[in-house]
Amino acid sequence: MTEIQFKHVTKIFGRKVEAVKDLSFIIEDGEYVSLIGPSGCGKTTTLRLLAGTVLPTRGKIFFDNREVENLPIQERNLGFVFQHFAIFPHMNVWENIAYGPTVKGKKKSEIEELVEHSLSSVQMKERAESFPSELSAPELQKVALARVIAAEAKILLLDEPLGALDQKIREEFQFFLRDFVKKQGLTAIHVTHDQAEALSISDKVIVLNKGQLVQMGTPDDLIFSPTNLFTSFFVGESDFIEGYVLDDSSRFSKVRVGLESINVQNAGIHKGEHVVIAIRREFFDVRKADQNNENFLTGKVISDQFLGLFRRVKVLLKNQQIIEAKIHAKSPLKFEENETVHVIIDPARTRCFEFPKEGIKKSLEM
Amino acid sequence: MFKTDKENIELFFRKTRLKIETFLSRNSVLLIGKIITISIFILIIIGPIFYLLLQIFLHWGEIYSKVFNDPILGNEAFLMMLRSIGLSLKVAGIVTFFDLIVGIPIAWVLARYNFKGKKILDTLVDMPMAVPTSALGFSIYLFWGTNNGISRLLNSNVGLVSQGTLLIILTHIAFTFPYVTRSIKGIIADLDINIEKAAKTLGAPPFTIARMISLPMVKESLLAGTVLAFTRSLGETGATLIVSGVYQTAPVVIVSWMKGLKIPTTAFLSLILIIISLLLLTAVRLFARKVGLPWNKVFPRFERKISSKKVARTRDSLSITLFFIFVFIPALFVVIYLFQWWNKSPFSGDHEAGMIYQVFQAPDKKIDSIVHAFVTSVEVALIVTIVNLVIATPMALLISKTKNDKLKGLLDTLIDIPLIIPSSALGFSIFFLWGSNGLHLLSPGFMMIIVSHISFTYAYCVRPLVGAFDAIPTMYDEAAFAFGSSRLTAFRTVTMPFLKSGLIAVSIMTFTRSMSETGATIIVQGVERTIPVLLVDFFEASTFPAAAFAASLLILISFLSLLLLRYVSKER
Ligand SMILES: Nc1ncnc2c1ncn2[C@@H]1O[C@H](COP(=O)(O)OP(=O)(O)O)[C@@H](O)[C@H]1O
Ligand SMILES: [Mg+2]
Repeated sequence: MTEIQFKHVTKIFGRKVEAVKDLSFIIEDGEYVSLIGPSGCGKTTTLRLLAGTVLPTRGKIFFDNREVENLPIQERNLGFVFQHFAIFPHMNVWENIAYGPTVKGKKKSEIEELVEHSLSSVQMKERAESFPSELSAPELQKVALARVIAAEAKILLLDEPLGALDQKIREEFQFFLRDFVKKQGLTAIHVTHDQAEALSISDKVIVLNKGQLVQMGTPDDLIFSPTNLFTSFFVGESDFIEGYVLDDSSRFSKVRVGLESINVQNAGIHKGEHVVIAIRREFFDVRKADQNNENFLTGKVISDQFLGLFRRVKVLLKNQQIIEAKIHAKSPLKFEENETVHVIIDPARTRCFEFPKEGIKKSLEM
Repeated sequence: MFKTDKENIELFFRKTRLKIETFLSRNSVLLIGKIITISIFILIIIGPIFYLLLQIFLHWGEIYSKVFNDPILGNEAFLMMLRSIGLSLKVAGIVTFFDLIVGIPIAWVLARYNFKGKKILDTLVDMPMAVPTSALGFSIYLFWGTNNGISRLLNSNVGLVSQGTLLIILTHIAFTFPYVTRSIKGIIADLDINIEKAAKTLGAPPFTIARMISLPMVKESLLAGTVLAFTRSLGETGATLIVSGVYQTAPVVIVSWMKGLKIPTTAFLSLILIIISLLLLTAVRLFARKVGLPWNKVFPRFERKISSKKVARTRDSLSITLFFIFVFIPALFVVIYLFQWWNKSPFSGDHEAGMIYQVFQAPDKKIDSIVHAFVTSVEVALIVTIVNLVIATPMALLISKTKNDKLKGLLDTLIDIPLIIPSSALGFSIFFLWGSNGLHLLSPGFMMIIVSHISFTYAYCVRPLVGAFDAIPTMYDEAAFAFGSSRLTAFRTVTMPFLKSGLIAVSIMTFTRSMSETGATIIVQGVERTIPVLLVDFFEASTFPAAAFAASLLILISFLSLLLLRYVSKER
């Protein structure tokens, strides 16, 4: 049973590189948590803080209410899986897996048992004598997992573990990984910059930007209820439409966009405010303008592109803003260039945020 | 039952080792380790030089009277210093000039062309660097300066080139040009050929491309190689003792004054040589990035002419021919000489002038002193190698891992000092610090030879090891820590295996360098003799066949080392 808690953790490298800023969160026992964010936002540093290979400049980290600094690394039950696996090249698979228990001073017979068990848990028994140079990337990945199991790790730290795999194998491996973690009863913290991977593999996702926690929640929360602009921007493709709140008295608020007005979700916005409406691209619907539509913005089609499962329809709205709707490839409607259309907006699928003072672009800077 | 016992014993030892390693990995213990590492560095490498400086400063009065105001000699010592330094600088300048002329085309040929025997040529080019300079000097002297070598081909009774400036220059070119070749060969090979191709499509002739595009890219390392060649020529003792005759270069003067125990004047001259070398080192460090070679004007017609295929081929084969005539054949001529004089003189047929008689049968039993010197040489080289591995590895680790850029830069520069100052001057400063004029811990002899050899081979160890440490990805260390290793356990189980081939290569290099050193050894040897020094002794006693025997032995050893080194670095 291990619960991990960060309390106002800050890590500064050198004098001024603030890799992690005032980070607080709780990860419960047995959870699969992903850490996502753009490159350089402090994901690896957060993992290394957890592993204890770097120490926080300020703040505290607890494992089950015990401060990490007082917990020898051997008792933290951590296992680290690196992007490039870090399988020791001069040891064979067996020796690699035996590394943890060997340096922890376990009995030989016990080590043998552990290695056998972990080899079979990743179905690699027949490769025990192989050297890393003879293994493929997915096999190395499995060795890395087996090594963690043999070290009797309860907490699995994964730093972009699938980054070195091909796209197709990667998707298979996501399932393998989650399944494996759940079967072994581990707590996993998985760093990735791929939001799709994070959403499909995790129980919870932590979004980081510039070393700060932006939002933590279930994949569902992040997709359907982002609490800020950055999350809706980073977790999935969204478009942002600028407007002013005309009325906030009923279930949906009325927002003026250019010369038109639409209804949006009424959450935390007030009459007269300058707001941004965020809508995921797959939640737009585009219809012919001559139909009897409700809650729409008018625009002109710029292009209608076929993208496999989806079509991407680019529309120039009347307020001169461009949005991209992702509509199902099977949708019967086809659009001509310059055709006037209605972009239908489902109020329940909208999120509204206060317009950032520094402008939308600036506030999404990574 | 038995199995459990064995298991328990293994467990006990492993646990004990892990506990010790964990203890030694504590920050306080590591700090002590760092302090020891830096102390050794100061005591053996930097200390002697600063001590020399300090003593000359403190005893300026005595030095002044000996050097400038001797009751009998007046300022003769000073004049001799000036003459010898002048000669040394002149020789080094001319040698470096020819090094560039010979060294650059050969580097180009080795980096860019593929032909049969390229690997052999590559090894041969490195040979003169590995062969002990005293053997090299002796061989070259036999070839040019006696009636055995070139004169025989020309049917002449006397040597073609007598001892003196010209012979010194010929000798120095042989062992310094590889520094130029080596410094740029790898970089030329790695240069992006596409850039050159692009320039070619714009109509530039190949020579212009090489000069304007390729060479400027290598200028920093070319400069480093050139400076190394210059300082090697400036500081060489062993070969110069043999080929100089009455024209004494500064390091030779140090040796002869030291033999006459003229300590104050030797100290002063050593210091001047050290200062010249340090100024050079500093200049290179400061200006390496700033210097531009004056190559921006183009001389199209002339260059197009010398770029034509025919000229290019002539130029390349010419530089290789020059290499064989002026470097390779003279450098190894001593082996031919040995066979010529095997059991009799090829001229008179006199049996007592032959090598067999001189070495094995003559009453002074030279073979005994050869065997003794050989054992001494090997013992010294082995001890020096082992000690250096022990003290250089932590230093390399320190330099590679330190996050303090200033400390890193400082150590990085200081490491090079013993590499660049004349080894006789270095030997003298070690004699000065450790001997009766300083700490009084050692007197000239076996131990002092070891200390001096450690000093000048230290950089040869540290440099490549820093590179080896830098090349190890940090993720392996981190993985080891994450699984619960202490720092020392991680070092033993993860870092060391990466380092293995690097350590072997460094050991071979250190061993060879120690085996071949003359200048420093002569200063600190006392009554001990190593093979290179014995060779000089034999030469001075005019027993050439015996000297040839010793020289061939040295060449054989260094050749084997070189092969071993090639083998090890290929395995990597
Ligand atoms: N050891 C270090 N020394 C100095 N700066 C570092 C170090 N490690 C990371 N950083 C800096 O901290 C920031 C966050 O790095 P990191 O945690 O590796 O980001 P991510 O894994 O999200 O790409 C980056 O700006 C990086 O340059
Ligand atoms: Mg990272």
